[in-house]
Amino acid sequence: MDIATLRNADINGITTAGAAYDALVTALGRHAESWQHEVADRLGAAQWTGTAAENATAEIQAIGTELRLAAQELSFVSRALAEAAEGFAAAQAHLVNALDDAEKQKFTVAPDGRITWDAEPTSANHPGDRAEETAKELGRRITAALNEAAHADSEIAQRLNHLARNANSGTGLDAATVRKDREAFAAREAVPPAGTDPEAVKRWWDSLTEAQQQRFVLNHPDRVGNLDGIPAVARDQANRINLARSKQDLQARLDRLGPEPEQFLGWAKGEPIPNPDYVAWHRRQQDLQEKLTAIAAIEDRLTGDGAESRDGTPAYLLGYDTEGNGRAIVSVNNPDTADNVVTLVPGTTSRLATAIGDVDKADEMVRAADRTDPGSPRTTAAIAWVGYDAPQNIFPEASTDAYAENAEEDLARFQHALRTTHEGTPSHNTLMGHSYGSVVVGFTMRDHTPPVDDVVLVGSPGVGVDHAEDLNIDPSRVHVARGSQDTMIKTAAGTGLLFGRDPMDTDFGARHLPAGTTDHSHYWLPGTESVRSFGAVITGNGNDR
Amino acid sequence: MRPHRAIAATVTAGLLWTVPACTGETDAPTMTRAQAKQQTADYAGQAIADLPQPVTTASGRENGTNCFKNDAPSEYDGRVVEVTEKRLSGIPADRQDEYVERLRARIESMGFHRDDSEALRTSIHFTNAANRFTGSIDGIGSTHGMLVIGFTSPCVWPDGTQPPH
Repeated sequence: MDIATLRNADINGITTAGAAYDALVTALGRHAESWQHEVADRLGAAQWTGTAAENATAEIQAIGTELRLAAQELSFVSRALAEAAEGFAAAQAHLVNALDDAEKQKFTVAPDGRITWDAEPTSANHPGDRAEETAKELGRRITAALNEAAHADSEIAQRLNHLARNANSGTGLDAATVRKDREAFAAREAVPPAGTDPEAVKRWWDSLTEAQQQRFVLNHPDRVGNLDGIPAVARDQANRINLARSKQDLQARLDRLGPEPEQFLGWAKGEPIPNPDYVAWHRRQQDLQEKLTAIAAIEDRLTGDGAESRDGTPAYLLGYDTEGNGRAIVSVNNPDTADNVVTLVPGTTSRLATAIGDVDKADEMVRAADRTDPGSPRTTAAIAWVGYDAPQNIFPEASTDAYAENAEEDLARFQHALRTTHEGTPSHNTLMGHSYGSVVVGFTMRDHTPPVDDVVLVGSPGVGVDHAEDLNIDPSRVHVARGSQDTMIKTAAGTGLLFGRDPMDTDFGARHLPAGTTDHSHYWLPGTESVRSFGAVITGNGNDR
Repeated sequence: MRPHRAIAATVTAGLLWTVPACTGETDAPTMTRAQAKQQTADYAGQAIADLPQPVTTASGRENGTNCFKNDAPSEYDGRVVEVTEKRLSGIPADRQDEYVERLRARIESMGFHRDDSEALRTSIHFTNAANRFTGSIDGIGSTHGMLVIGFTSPCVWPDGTQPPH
């Protein structure tokens, strides 16, 4: 595929051919129905009997079956043409956009793809100081567009060849062949189920053209958005659709709640009789309202004033669910392209409604990482992972293993996915847990050994092991932080009865980070030593003193 | 649940409710948000008043953030902190120590004490015991000729007092 071929391709021709083919298939389908009604059914209703009649009936039914199979088989051709047209159109649009941008920025693109520019800095046609980098990026976009078209070309060729072979050999009239083809087409529409190995998901995603990927995002955002192994940009796009849809759904449910029931049903023995409907109504109303408020806050961070007040630092919605207590996984900056990636697992009471508070902490970590080496081009992505059902109270919920056990597999898979979708040089990845979130991190490290470089346990009550080395990572990469006013956790962890030895205990063997005088809730406030020490670890500056 | 877990958790639950009483400050009157912001800006202005040359100063972060509830670390409690940062660029690499030393002395002269944060290789952290504002010098050892200084208020109620529930 070359630039001129793709730029000048008349894709409308393929679309028109696909539509014409569709019309033929529809007509053939009608003929097959007519054959059934007008011939086969009438013959069956006739009083014709005997050997000749049986032979004729069988033959006529076989013809009807072959007509229906042929119509199905041919429908695959029109679908293949429609998808090819989509793929070519997307590739052509990407190429034209890149060529337009090149022209606007004063670059010349030769027919073979070479990019040249006026290198004289004083010339009016000089593209600027970053000409070489810009040219490389333009070249990358042009190559990607050509590859996209070549991929679509190769795919349509394979599919049409297969269908043509079926037609020429007559196997396309065979029920088993048509069923196989139908399954192959259905598989193209299927999203891998939740929990699939991220590498398998990534391979599936990469096998799709960009147009097909877009179709999956738009048609199945609920399944694409939360699927580990899908790149961050696509997950974000899908989840923004999910966010908008759920907002409408929750608002509709709130509107349908109806009027507030009476608080009391009457009086008995001088006491009011509580109305259970009143309590249930308020619980549902509060849940819906809380989620709508959370959605507004997340939207604000993604696109509104919340993004603006953070100097436009982008945020990506990598996971989203409103069921139960609700979940949200939000990354400040793109983890697929960042040099450093940290995942924060919050603890007790975290849920969709509180996710924005954890996003604030992620924002602070990005800033803290930046401050370790101001002016550096290296980037940091910080992820608030409200991706599990956290305990909602200290007792009894936060004193049990169950919430951590239920979370560890998902957290481990998410960490693997960060590696799978990351582009270029592998990032420096840190896994951090706060309070009960550190229990989740500890269990995950102990049982799944996710691919992380550093672990940070903040305000931890214990992590399910008695020694840092039992977390399946070099103990010098296990860091603990506890502020002098975090007295509640200190006492709880000191008993050693909840989740094993206190990680602050010298015998635990972790590195102690400066955490100043913070209490349990403010490790990430700007101006604290704790958030600075997190920045140092996240950027890999915490271990080489 | 194992019995000792239940005991420990009960201890934890009891302690949780004592925390606000121990710190005793979340519902106390504070300076207002505007006053806190002005104070951080004043500190930052004073800190960079007589730096060695060459240096280019630019505004950094100007937005504060939210404080959290004691018993729900991801839920806002209504208080905020205010922040003012300045980014200092163009500092000759071989003279960074001189700039850091000048800033340190200046910040300490404003009533701040250096915290015991030697473990932090790239920053120095300060606290003003009189009003619990903090200060910092970040980017020490930076290869890009840049330092960042910042001042942060303690958690304050936006209007100075806790709003009625």
